[in-house]
Amino acid sequence: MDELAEIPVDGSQMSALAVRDIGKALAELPAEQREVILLVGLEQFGYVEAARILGVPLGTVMSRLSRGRERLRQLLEGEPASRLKVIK
Amino acid sequence: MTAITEDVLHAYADGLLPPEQRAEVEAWLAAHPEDEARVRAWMAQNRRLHEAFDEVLNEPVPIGLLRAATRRERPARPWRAAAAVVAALLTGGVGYGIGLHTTAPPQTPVALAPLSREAALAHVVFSPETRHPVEVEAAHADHLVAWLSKRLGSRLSAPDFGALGFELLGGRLLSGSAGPVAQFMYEDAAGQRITLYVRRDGRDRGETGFRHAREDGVEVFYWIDGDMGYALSGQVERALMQRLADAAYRQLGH
Repeated sequence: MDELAEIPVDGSQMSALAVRDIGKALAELPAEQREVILLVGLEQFGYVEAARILGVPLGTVMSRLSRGRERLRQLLEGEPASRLKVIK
Repeated sequence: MTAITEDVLHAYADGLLPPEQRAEVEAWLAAHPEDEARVRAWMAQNRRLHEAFDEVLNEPVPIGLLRAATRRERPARPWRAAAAVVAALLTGGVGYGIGLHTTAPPQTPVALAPLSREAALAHVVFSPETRHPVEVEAAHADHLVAWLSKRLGSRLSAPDFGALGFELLGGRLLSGSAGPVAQFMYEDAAGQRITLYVRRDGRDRGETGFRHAREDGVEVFYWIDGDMGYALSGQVERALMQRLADAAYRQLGH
């Protein structure tokens, strides 16, 4: 059961919630994993381009992407929604 | 037959595989539920990133076009700085910075911090864009201003920074935590970009003086005027940002 995939993503309430949620999870990652995830997942760069932009080997991009995404997955799936109250 | 490595799974999740390889991966995933769950989670992460930070970009840009568009040299350092800023923003670094720069009681910076945080985040996300820095270009300035005014439900104007060397590049509509947001982007002859972030704050809070936040090279000057919040962000020298912010403040409703 993949709850994340089922969440409807339209509506401004939802998008404000998504900002906090994914933002909070991203904040938990080491910077080098976060920048790879932002370049690939948000900016839609290919892996080779991401490696060139960051000035690291392709293999490094792939391992950071892999570790970062797995960590994000744990954070987003494991985190109870009520913890959002802490930052409000 | 392709070996289904971890890298191939990521490339599948990112839509980077050619059709025949996609089919192979799909066959693999059908037989390996654990991998399927991971890949689905990664794809959901990408969707949520777009939903959170980039929802104006409705269609994925074809990868070939992207490659062509990004072939020219992009300096590595600004992105590192931008990523660091995103990090700092997400962990409340800017909020802390504001606390240091203001003499107001502690609850005031807390209430205002999201404006500078959102503005700086929007700045670091969109200002490095070479493909779609803006949705509506400055050539259609009248349309741009009318459109954003309509969406925000308030009469906006794009300040003129010509005297300070910055020309309007255009603007876009974003979704902020408080509803629609207008972002105007300007560029100088050297290619430096600044963005003006304008949102409705919903309740009239009178007027505030300038507040300033700085994190790893991004300067944000922001202020509230009535029920509107303004934030000017840029990775330019503080004295110049201050002059730009003064100019914006003078031109917007004064």
